[in-house]
Amino acid sequence: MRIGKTKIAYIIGALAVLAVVVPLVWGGVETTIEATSRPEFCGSCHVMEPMVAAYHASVHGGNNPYGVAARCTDCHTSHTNAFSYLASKTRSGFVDTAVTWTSNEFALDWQANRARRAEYVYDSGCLQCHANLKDIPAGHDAHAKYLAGTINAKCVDCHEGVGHEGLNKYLLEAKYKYGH
Amino acid sequence: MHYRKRLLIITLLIAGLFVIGAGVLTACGGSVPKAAPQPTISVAPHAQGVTEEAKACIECHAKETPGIVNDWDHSAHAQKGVTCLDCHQTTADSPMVLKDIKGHENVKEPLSMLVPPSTCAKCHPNEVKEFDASGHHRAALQVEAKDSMQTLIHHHEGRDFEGLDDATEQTGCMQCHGMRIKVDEHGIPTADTYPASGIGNIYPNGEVGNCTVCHTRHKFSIAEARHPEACASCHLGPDHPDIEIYEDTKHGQIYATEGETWKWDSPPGDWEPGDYRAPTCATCHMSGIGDLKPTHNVSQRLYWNAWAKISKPRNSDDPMSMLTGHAEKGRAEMKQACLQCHSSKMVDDYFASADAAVELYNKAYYTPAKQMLDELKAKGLLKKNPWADRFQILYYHLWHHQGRRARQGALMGGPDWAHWHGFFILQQNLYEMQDIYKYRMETGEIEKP
Repeated sequence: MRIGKTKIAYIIGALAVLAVVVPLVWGGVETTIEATSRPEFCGSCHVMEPMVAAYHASVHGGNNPYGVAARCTDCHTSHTNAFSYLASKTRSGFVDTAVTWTSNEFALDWQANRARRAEYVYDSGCLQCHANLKDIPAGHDAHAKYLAGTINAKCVDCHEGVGHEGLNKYLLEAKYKYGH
Repeated sequence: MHYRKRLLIITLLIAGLFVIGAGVLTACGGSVPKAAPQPTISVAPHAQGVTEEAKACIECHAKETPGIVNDWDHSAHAQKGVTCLDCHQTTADSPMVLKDIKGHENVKEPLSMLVPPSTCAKCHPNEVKEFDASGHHRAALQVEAKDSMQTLIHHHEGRDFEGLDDATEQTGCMQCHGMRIKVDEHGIPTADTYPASGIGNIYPNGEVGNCTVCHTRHKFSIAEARHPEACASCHLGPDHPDIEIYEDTKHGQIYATEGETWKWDSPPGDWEPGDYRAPTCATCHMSGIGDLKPTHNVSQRLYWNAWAKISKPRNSDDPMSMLTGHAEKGRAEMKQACLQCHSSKMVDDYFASADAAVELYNKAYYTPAKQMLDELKAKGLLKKNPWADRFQILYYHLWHHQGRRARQGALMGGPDWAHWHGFFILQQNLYEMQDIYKYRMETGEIEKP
């Protein structure tokens, strides 16, 4: 079957459009993902004010001699693969927004939320940076069982205060500041 | 079919495949990953990560020592898979290794009954390092090293009684200060050096320190360590009534009234006002209240040495020094703790009057008492046995008992202790000492009893 000149023109035109549109859309999606990953965004709901303050006080939030900081999504989304990342990010985005709109966010029990921290702090996130856990001498015995998979504990089961240093203090401050 | 329709159907099918694929992958990787179910052990239902070897320990010890297994089962260690062998397994060349113990014939791993601080340091390195820099570290070593204390313990109290003269320190001093623990050929601690519940225990391998004093075994509860009772087993009594002083303060009253409603299990460094309404010993002396970092160095936030004959500001990095700590820095940190609840005016005024009380003791009580002592000594007017000499007994009580009560009562806000048990008795002591000194100096003799 001979493909007509018109059809070829259409195909080339479509490819040209795609060559422009696809990078634009891809870049747009990446930018949106980036923009919604940082404390400036996550902290724009003021219920997050204590968490952002505690984050900045923590070594993971830049309070270290090197100025290295993890972003919110580095710990609070799954990093097993790209799909799990997008799924966990989307889910938390929907859930957090829905909760903010439908409930009195200052009536939330943050201590109860802290108690279930293993549900929203992903080991795959920690292990992105702390990939050489088995090779470090410090904590070698402490991590042996975790790495061997013989215990159920997640990183934050033992490392309770990681990422948000002195969170209880900031929660209390916010409670008095906003009068709830 | 028109080609556009076909194109649309194909596009929709491919998109649909993508969506299904993404959904499948999301379902696989997107939810919170669950670890494989861990076998539970019926005698310790909260424990996990229990290896076959540890299971053997636990099942037998649940019958032999059920209290230990119950305590451990309720510990954070059990929940996080820290089992018996993680602490009690040692190396074959350890001086503490157990040999030929009945019931342990099938145990392959070298075991030790004693757990020195280096074992805890495998997971808690900072806490051990901080402890080693503190005054707690020297608790047993300092008693060992002082000749006058050894004479008091063995000669005057123990009456040099053959075989029995260790009883006073075994049941008394060293149960708080710590024992030098010895083991026999089986690795079992000897009867004369165990039980050893003191904080400055010295282990057969030379290590110093006992982590189980404040967060007791095998529960190792941070909530327990934060309660004032954790300190009270040792920080009490006529010569340092710290728990009694605490109970005399408003902090102690509020704790007594409503302490059972407070939150005690916040993470280290995160235990803040709101969790509690008044501080305990740990809050001011160790915890990460406000911006302070938590520390196991109990000397870090102290200005004075409030227990010595004369109080001086602390200025040493050596844990064996009486002045371990840094006065100005320590005072600033302590004030930071106070300022979480109190105004700076209150805090500054409080420490001004407390410091004045310490200086009054130093200058108006200890200094003249010491001067009288030195003068009497120079003239040979002191009895050789200080414990049978009224003047020397008064001198000892002046600095070691009521002098400490006056200083510590003032520094920690216990007015009854600072005054009635402190300065009131001090002034009576000083008058009596002056009378005796006058008599001895004028007559050149020691008075008859």
